[in-house]
Amino acid sequence: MPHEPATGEAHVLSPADRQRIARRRFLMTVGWGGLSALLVATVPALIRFLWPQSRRDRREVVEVGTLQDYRAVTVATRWVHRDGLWIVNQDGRLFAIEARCTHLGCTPRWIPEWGVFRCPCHGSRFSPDGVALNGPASLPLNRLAIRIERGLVVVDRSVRAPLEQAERDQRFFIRV
Amino acid sequence: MAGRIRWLSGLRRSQFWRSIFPTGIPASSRERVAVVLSHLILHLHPVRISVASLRLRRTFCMGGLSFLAFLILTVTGVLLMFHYRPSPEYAYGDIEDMMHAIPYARFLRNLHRWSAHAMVLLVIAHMVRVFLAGAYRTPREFNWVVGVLLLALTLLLSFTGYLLPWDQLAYWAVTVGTNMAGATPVIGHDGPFAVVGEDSDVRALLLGGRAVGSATLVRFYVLHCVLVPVVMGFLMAIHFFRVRRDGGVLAKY
Repeated sequence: MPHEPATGEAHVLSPADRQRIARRRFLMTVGWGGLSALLVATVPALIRFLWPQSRRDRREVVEVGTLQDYRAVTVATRWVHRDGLWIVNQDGRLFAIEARCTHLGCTPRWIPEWGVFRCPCHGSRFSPDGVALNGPASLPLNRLAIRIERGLVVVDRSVRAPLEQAERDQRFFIRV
Repeated sequence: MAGRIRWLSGLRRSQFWRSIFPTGIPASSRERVAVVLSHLILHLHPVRISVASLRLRRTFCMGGLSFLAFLILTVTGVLLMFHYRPSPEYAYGDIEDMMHAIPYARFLRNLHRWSAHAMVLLVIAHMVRVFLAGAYRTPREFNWVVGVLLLALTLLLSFTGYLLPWDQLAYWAVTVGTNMAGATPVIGHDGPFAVVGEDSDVRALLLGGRAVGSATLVRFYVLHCVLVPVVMGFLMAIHFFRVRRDGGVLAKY
């Protein structure tokens, strides 16, 4: 099989040689092209494989018991772990506070003895209705949409509002 | 190729390119040696090999295929680590997720499992070939020993990996295996001449406790993903180097 000439000499190619060169070129192109195509095709598959599974996220609309459950309760911590919210019964209103510190997103803890929510990450404190009392957090905790549906209290975690707006918005509290 | 695409040769002359690839494409034998020996990745290979050493029947590529299986296992294994949690609470569920819910995970998991079985068979076939060719004789005795260690580590990888799905097969296989370890002389509490009790023998060391549990799973996971592969990598480096140094596969055994 002829190699490319190293010097500038003229080199006569027979028809058989031409065929060999053409065939080699064809096979190399198809071979490397096929391999590259295969490798490129694995990229979207790899990305899809590594993409986070939205199935593992929390549900958006959750049922949190009945009105009876909250008659004698100020702050209900029952749903913090599953849904990331507290149900608060204050001044004749029932509302849902998002259990996410407005500083950097940690989950604060309700401390009944002190009557505050306290964030373990940097020490921010919030009053029972979500106002920031101290700590790096300055914004109050958000409220989540809450309603009665077929006798059950239902919270829509996808609809949230800051405290000032939620106090005036019918969607964010239930009169009790 | 560079001749065809004019901008490519312009790129090749740029400072950007030359800082990454300081040597050009070698033109002479001497330049080829210089380039290969001065590159991190290239210098792991010989400068040239003779065509005769590529004959299939010389080695049937068994060693190379074993290494290929190892590479496949490493790549698929790392990918699987993104979706697996080594805890009794999650392990089984995560594997089920991968088999049914996560795109392409079933393929990767199956590829991992099949390659594991293939690697064991390939290293045994490799060992048989080396033995029948007499390629363990002087000066290759040490390399044979390294090979046997690699075999043991391959089996250990299989053993530790087997537990990770945390299914019935895994759990009881490890129970049986570790109880066998407990019957080792001296260092096993159940063996002859035992010097240690049940809490501090080799079985307890493997299990991370008295019975197969979460400690075992974590232990086996670390062994499977970190410790054994790293040690194997090191031994493989020695193994491959010795093959080259002792004349490659073409030399007379």
